[in-house]
Amino acid sequence: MKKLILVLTLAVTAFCMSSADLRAADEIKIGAILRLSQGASDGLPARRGIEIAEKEINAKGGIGGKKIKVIYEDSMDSPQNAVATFQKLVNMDDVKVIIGPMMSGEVLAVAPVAQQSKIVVVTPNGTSPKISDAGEYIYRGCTRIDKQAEALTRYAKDTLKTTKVAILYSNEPYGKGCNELFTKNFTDLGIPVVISESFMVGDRDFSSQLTKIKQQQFDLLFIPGYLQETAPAISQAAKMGINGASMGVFGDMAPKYIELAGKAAEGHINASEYNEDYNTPANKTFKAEYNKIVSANPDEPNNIMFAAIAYDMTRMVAEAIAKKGNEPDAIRAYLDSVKDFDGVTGKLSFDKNGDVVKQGVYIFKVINGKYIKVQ
Amino acid sequence: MLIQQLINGLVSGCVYALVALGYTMIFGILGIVNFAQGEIYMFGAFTAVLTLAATGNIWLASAAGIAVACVLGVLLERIAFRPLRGMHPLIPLISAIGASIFLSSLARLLFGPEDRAFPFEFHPSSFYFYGAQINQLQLAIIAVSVGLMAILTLFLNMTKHGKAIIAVAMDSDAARLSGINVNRAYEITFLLGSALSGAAGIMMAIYYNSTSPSMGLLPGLKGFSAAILGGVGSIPGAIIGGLVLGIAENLGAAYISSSFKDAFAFIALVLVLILLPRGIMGSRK
Repeated sequence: MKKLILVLTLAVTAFCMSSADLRAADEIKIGAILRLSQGASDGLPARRGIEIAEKEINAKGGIGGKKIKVIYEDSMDSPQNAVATFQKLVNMDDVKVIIGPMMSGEVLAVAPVAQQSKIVVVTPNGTSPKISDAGEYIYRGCTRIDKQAEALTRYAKDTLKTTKVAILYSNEPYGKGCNELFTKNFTDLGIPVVISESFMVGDRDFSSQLTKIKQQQFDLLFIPGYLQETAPAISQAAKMGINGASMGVFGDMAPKYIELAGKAAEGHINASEYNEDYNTPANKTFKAEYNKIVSANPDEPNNIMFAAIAYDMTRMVAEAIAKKGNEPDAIRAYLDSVKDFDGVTGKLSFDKNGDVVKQGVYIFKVINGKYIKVQ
Repeated sequence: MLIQQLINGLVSGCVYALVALGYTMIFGILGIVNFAQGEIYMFGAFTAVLTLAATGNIWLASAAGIAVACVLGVLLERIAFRPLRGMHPLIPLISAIGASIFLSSLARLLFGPEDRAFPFEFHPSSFYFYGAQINQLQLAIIAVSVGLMAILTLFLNMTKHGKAIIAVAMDSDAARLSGINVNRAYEITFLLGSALSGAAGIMMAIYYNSTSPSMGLLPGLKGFSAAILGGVGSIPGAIIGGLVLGIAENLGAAYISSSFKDAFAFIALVLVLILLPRGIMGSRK
């Protein structure tokens, strides 16, 4: 009896496995590690961007007759978890290429594992300069933070005529990195940083830091971090009577920022990777598709920039698989050689470090409750 | 700047004190720590935000927020704690942690993972007090908190139900023998504690213009620390503990380093516990 059960179990298992293989054979799997619970205000739009690309490609018959299927995992904003989901995607789902993770710390945690297992990782939003040296299998679809810093500090000097700056930064790797980098850039341009204070992720009370900041003379308040903290911070600053110019990094580039910061958002300066009015047929279609999703799901976080970058990266990866095949080294060969790919975030190529090359950084300003491109 | 930082500390301290009162009352009467206090705070805030968005009436919204917090507290007592009464104290503790995780996941499902702004923005006018700026909103938070604490103290000392709670906290068996409905006393305790946390949540949602499913985590932890700091089970202790915690972290952030703002609150906690192991107002049996 026991033997019979064993045989039956084995047979069933074998059958299941072979049918799984059969199904897998008619689709091409791509992994995605996104911020789907913590930080979902960025992660869900990125997922929508990937979905739009997936739908478009599959509507045209997929790649070589096979549909593509994106498997989503949640990084939960934790490097450990990003690595765990990476292992799951590679070992269980057998993907060759992964879009994500979205935060620099997660990308840097995943990179050594990806290098070892030779899996291509394309991060849409990791901005840390360290990612450039993370290895030849690691690509990124956004501008490095130091390029953003250059553009923003230059804008502060030339256009805002800033003479002194105060910094209130988020006390985690991203905010701390920005604090150091921007301090250096501002100082190099002859703009002294008069005070630099920090807050913790999850804080909603910034009054003690802002009280200290208010003691100083400055004409620009720079707040690098994630919008869950930076928006309430600027709103509190305004309530305490700090009403000068303010500047943030690209996490603030979302309607949610303006909603949470309220009137205090007015005049806020920001760097962005995407220009909604970029005049190409591809961008018009993408924008229409994304707006359709937004109006069908009004309660969902909405951020077209994160959707746009993820959309571009998915299309480039799909193109790589179509042109060279679904193997990591084949995908790399395409990404390394592609020139002026017609993306919605610009004409895209990758440099030898796997960093995207495009037209440069846009600068946006909040005017009457909307982000308007000023440069 | 010192006065300004003291005012900042007073505002956050008032909120910690309200949450701490919930912890301390429930601990005083049941001997358990209700770790879901922070989630009740969050549900109160969310209900107020949603009601306000739907009706536009701030009083109705606040009432709804506090009502939902009360109902949640009573339900929690019925479902998560009453069946476990008399068991080893670790078991209701685990149940409380479970309830806390359940409620924050529920909130994520119901309200979405994102921060929400308060439906309308307040632009409080502020005035100056010895060089420190204080706005109407901060003043209102302090006034409401003090008012709630006063009402609670009066309720406990002057009314039948309040006295019943004190009696049950002293000795539940003796209270039962003298005809006090012990279950009713437990329910009222949870109701009061939750109402205070809910009110704190609503005030902070207005003050910070932000509501999110994880907003209760830190105030819950700080409220718990404030309750221990003041001496668990002691009502004046919870209030003093909250204020000390709020002021300590603001002064620490102002004069030492803002990177360690949260650490100062917990350093104050450790110091007090080393010097006064039962807390500031704890009974010295």
